[in-house]
Amino acid sequence: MLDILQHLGAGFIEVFAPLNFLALIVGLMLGLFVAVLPGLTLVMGVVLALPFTYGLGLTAAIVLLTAMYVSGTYGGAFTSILFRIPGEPMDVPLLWDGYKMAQRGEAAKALGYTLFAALVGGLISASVMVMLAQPIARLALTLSAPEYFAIILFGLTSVVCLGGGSQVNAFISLLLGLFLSTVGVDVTYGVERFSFGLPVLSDGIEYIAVMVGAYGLGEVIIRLEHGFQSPSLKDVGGGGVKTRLPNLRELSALKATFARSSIIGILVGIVPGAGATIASFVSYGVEGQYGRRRDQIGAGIPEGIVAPQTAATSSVGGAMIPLMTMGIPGSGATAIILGAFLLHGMQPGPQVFFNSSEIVYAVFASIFLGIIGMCIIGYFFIKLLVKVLDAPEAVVSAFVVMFCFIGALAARNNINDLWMIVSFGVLGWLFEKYGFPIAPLVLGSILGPLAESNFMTTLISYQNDWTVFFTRPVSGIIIALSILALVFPSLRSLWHRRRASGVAT
Amino acid sequence: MIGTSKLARTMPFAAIMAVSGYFYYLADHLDYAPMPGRVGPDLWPKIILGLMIAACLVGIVNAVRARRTTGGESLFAMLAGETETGGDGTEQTRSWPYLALAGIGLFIAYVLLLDIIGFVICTAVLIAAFLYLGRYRNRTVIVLASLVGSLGFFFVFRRIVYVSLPLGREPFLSLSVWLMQVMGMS
Repeated sequence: MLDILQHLGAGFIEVFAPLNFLALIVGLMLGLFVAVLPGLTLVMGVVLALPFTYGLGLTAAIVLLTAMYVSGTYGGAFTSILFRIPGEPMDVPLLWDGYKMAQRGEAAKALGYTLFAALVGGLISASVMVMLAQPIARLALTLSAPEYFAIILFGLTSVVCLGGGSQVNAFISLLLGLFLSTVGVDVTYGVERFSFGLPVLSDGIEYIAVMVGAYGLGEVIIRLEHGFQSPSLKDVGGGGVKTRLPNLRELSALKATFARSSIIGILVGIVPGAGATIASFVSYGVEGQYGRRRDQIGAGIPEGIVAPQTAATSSVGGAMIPLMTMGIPGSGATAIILGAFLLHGMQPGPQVFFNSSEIVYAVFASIFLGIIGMCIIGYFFIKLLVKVLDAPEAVVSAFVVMFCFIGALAARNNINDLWMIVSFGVLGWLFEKYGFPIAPLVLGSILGPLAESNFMTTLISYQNDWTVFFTRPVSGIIIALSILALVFPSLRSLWHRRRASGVAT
Repeated sequence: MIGTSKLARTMPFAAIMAVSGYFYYLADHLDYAPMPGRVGPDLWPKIILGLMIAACLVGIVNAVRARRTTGGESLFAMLAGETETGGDGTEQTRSWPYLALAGIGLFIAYVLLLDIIGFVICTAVLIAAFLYLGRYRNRTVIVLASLVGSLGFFFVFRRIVYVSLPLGREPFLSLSVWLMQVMGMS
């Protein structure tokens, strides 16, 4: 424990180095702006910031992106509560109670609860992250290929069962992502697969291209199709924006909600593939089912604000655990942070955790500082932040397009990569039109190479004995959980249908 | 999800299944020397493509049987409960697909012309055309955004981030070089 605190202390000193501290502040500001703007999602914002970090050192680059991730879970709350404009999908649950409080003239109070929820949820999850990371990294050192494959499989199946909409479509999206990762030269045998002799495909399809294209350009095409909207602050009543902090008695009444939502956020964050949006919705749903005032949820009560906001921010600490200890991203934003690590020539995992602990703990320290910093910025600069809403969505989208293209160019200085971006932009648009979620596609393309290499290593090491995945205790349990996660929703819906038809007859 | 007829609902699954079948065939004919008793580089893609074909079949059956595609309610939807009916005020019912297609055409043209006319002009034209396509009509903002955007991106990424943005071919190359000199770049 003492050595963890020592490392963390050194991490704080590292973050206070001028460049790292500047990266932290810039990241927090960017994250808040991105979260406020309805046309720009948090993951998209982090993707677009990635090219700017090429010239920075590794620590500053990761601190900047992590700060964006942290503050991005908070900024969207302002516009959701004040103007009924969710900056991010994760902010949608805030509309149901937060906006109702604002309509009753309690906007300042609602914003105060949001600030506390982000602060408490964030700090609890950051503390849990610091305490759990070292034991998990130590455990990760003892795992071998079958266990790694099982963990990755669990992440892949969880993104299918936790994502909204059709499970079959999500599964197809995931498989497509996994398939994309097989294009190019196979790492085990050096055999070219599905490249058709094209150099651009021989190098493989970079998941950054999939992510920037499908999330960034795809979203812009969708918005272009639906018509850009530019809500003006004058139209939505942008006057009198301020935050009033709740008193101790009010906070004390929400102890259980804070605890429940923090745990949900951390657990959802740890599951690879599930991020702040899922944490926010699940926490709101759980509060509606088990909360002390569950019958009033949706009517404009603080629990309806605290539950989703606490969970959303606490998912950050949870999502950082698998990334820093095993090199497996726990959410869309951490997938990009993983990309930043790889671009700087470092593969996060247990080895890096113990051999380059100064970087790991600097990132951890930056999360603590980021959470406190975003609350201070949010409290004092809320008026300035919501002014961003005055920016025309068409202009913001035009600049997003440029960031997508330049981001692709910056990675390898190859114009052929722009074709990839356009192709995946069109794919992202088609996915939206036909109801296929994008998150499994992206996660599949990120985790695909890891999944394949661990799968092949296992089969080669154990003479093609595939039962090893089930007979080794850890991998067996995790694979059973993966299968359960995949079939449980279908079984439950089948059971409900049978029960309903039984009642009808 | 677009389309209400069974054909429209099954179409995407059928298309993905056909493409998967083709790639499965390619995976089966990979050019490598197999080693006895050892799995080859075709195994992993074949598993993925096999599962994809199976999932598409389920999707087609669901699309034919159901009034609208469900394919099993997700755990997330069950837990959140209100996501389907809560209403966030962001639903958009009207759409203009031709605008999306025109936008895609614009992006393709940009990539095609970038190497020929260079980053600065190509980007300025793209931003202006995109704003116009997005039915934004404030001319002052369009001109300012396209000029500030293209020159700003050019300066930041060439001078500070050191990204080798395309300069174009003559006569556009001379213009790019002149701009670089004006901006103090070598």
